[in-house]
Amino acid sequence: MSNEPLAIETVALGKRYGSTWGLQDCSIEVPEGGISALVGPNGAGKTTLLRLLVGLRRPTSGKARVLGRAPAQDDGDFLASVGFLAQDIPLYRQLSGAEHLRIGAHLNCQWDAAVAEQRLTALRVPLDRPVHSLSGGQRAQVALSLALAKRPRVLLLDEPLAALDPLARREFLTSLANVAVEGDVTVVLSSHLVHDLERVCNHLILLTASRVRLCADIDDVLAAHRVLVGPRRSTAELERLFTVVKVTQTERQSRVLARLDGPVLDPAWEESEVGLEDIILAYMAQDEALTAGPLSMVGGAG
Amino acid sequence: MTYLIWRLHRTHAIVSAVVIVAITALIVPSGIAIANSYHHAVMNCSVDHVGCDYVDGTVFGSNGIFTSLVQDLAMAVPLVFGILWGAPLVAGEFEASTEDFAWTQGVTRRRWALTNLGWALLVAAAWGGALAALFTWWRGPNNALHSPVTFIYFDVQGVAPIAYTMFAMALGIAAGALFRRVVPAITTTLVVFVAVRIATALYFRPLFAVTKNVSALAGVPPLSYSLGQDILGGSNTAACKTLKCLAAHGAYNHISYLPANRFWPLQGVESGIFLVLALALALYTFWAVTTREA
Amino acid sequence: MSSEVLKQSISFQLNQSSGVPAYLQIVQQVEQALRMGTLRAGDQLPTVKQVVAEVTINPNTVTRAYRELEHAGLVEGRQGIGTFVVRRPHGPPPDKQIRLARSLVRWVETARSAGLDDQAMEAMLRSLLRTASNRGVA
Repeated sequence: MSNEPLAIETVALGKRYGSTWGLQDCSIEVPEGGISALVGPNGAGKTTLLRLLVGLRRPTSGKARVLGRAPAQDDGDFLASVGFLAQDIPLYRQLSGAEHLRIGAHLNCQWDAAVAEQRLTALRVPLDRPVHSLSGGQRAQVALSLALAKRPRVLLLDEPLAALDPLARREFLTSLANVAVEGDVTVVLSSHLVHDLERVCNHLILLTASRVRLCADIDDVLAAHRVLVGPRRSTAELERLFTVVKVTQTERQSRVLARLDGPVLDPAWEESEVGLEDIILAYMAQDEALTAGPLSMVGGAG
Repeated sequence: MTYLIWRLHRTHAIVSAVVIVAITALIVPSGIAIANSYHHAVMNCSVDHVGCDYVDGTVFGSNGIFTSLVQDLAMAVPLVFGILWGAPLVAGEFEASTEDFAWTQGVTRRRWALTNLGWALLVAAAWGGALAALFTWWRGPNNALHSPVTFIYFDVQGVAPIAYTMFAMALGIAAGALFRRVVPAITTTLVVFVAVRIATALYFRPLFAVTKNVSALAGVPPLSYSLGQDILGGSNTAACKTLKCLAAHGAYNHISYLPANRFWPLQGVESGIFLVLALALALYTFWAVTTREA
Repeated sequence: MSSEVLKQSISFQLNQSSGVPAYLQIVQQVEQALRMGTLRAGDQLPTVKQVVAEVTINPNTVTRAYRELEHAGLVEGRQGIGTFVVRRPHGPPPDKQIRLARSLVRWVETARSAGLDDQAMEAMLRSLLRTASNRGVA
């Protein structure tokens, strides 16, 4: 990992609910600045991780540092520097956008009302109507403006795109990208969809079954993973040399998706690049295969 | 934080203020009329109540239905606060998913809990006190004729209504914090409040009673609240049909009653109990909001 | 039909499924505009903010693309003002490009009449380019 300052750092972070682990042995590093995508299937532990980082949950094991301090519910300074947007967009339905901004001004020590109003006006979000009469996308923008107006240095968003239509999703992502342009904010947003995030995010954290599989710059992930295609044969040698994520065996061909940390010397393998979504899906499938049992290995009898 | 609370409970505050004013508008003229009527009636009869048997009927008879309706209303007020204001306070936030809102705007859980509890209990005390003062004044003449220690008469005057309202409010909030849903909170508040109030009236108040044996011809002293009378003892009383006969055969009246002078001690102790309960519930709410995890 | 008019010199398009990294697509689109004469020396490239607003892309990607162009000597960034075109990329001028394009059209017509469809032609071209660049690297 580089020596850039870290906005977020966790060491063996874990959270247990009763007898199940929502998150296990999570060690990640998120450098300052930039937009990080927290990706994984539903139930993988994304919400748990975000809530641990923000102080709404206490860890069962390990520790977390956000901007150098441990997240704490009752730390006023911490609350002021970390913004959080929960999945269900907490807004008071009967109050208007303008009233929410007024309340925010009363509650926060640091508050930039003008920027929030300008954003919402530019997006043509009516500020004088009760929030329940706004569309899902407009509500999300109001909530985002509230989170941004307090000028946080870290902004964590839990599935902000889930309930938005494609146009609203695109606008929301543009807003986040603009946020990264303007200030020194580190953004982490979680989603179970990858396609939209790829445009805007430069860093990826992949969670499956409560564990971290990948935590790296997206460019590095793309550079490191390759699909190798060759005539059908055993993949044991490859598995010995590299981290093999997915193997597809057909009657004539073998296709392998692997993380390469060195050159592939066997000329029979034809290398090609692979898209981010395919890489992520391969890791997710790997996990399913592990939990389901050896007979379900992708592609039939190995 | 105060601004947020005001903004969210503005409607509650205005409606309850309007209701208090309406009740005052009903009670004040009635109280004045009763007081006038009473003084007239008293001046026309002798001082020690002999011959004043008709005062009660004259002054209060015609207002009978109105009187009991108003008092039932007064009994219900604390519970209404608990259900309409207390129960949705925390539970409503969870149902609307806004329980994190203040937190994401820089308000620690501790501050949120303290400010909400503080204002809610203050309002409960204020409105409870206003109604208590109103009804104590209204019942002035009635207290001279009927023991203020009587069930219901006792519950709407003095300082007890303040404690009941604070207890109901704290109970509603705590139930909301426990269940995080409004309907279970309301149901629990209703059931628990009624149960505790009935239990104190049935089991706690008799602890202050005076028990003794008096002549079979006598009853409980004037202006006291009778908790029970039994004609006991004597010999060969089977054939007796009158009290005089029973008395002549040695029977006596075993009475149990709350004397009028126990009013303020009882008010003080019962209020104390309810205030302690309110405090315990408030502490639970504080713990549930700040420490209990999702 | 929807249409928009933007106050910037050129507009960009991002093809997520092409396999070409985003920053490289920006570099290529700027180079193409320079080659065709759409952008000339002294013109200002769209600001990072403008690109982000149009394409919904990470601002670091735009910065990286502009830096690559600067390294190649095609543009220069002026602190606080913007990024400006310095010169065209080395290579044939627009008229030569047009002549090359015409000969490519003739080849395509020949290939089509021989029975190759678009995909076959694309695959052939791609593998030829790969071989050519491998030879260059090795």
